[in-house]
Amino acid sequence: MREKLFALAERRGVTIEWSSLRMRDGEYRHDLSRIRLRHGMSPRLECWTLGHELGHAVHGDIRTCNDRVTSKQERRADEWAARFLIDLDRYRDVELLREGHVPSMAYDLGVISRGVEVYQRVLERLGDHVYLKPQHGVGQFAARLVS
Amino acid sequence: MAIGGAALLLFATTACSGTTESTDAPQASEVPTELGLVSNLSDVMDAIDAAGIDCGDWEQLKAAADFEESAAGACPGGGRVAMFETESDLEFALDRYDTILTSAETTDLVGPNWMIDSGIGDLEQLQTALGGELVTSGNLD
Repeated sequence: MREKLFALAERRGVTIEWSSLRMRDGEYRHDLSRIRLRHGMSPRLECWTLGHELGHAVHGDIRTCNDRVTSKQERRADEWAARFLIDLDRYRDVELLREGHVPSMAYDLGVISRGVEVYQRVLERLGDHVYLKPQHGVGQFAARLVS
Repeated sequence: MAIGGAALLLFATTACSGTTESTDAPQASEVPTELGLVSNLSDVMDAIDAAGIDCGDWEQLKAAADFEESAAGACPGGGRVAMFETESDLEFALDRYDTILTSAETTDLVGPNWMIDSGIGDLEQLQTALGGELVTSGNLD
């Protein structure tokens, strides 16, 4: 998955640097098309952070003092990362195996616990089906599985 | 000396005619003003204060070089004011808000290169004094 993230960054012309960031694990600068990652993160945290920052890059997010816009941008980047990093079939298998224990599921899925929680937020269970990113209108979901 | 006297007379006439005109003008408090383009965040803050809305000791927010705003400030009781370098920067930001925010989430008073959010107080009262437009951002998808 790490390779897929790097390949996507390269395709989009986004450079990735490691730096001694303080107070945060990563940052995206739209004006420079650059992601910075904090040195010394665990592989799973680094993977999640890179996914999150790439989520900003994909959406062309710009930093702002507007709190509402900031929180939406952060949530959107989280959800993009979760959908990119977690495969729905694999998620289903791991959830069964780990009986829904989030830290164990995160370990198996190669993300951090927050990644699992975010992914669960974009899943909607209706009857025997699990929907990924359900919405109204045409194309009512990104994926559907029989649970 | 004659030229100097004429100049003095002209000045006196101009000053008098100005005084006459201002007698017929409405009181200052009734006249809507336009804040227009600003070059400093404190210009907006001063205008808010002059409009009768007490922001208190506002705090300048740290806006790094890559932020879309050129400057921003927050009032202690809530409410934010943002300034953009150019009018097109502000328009670009508003377009972005429409794509990011959902269901008409926020209304701001928007001038040529400044923006005041509703947390600061009665935006209609501010609009009367500062001009600008009330803009609701957010898409309805």
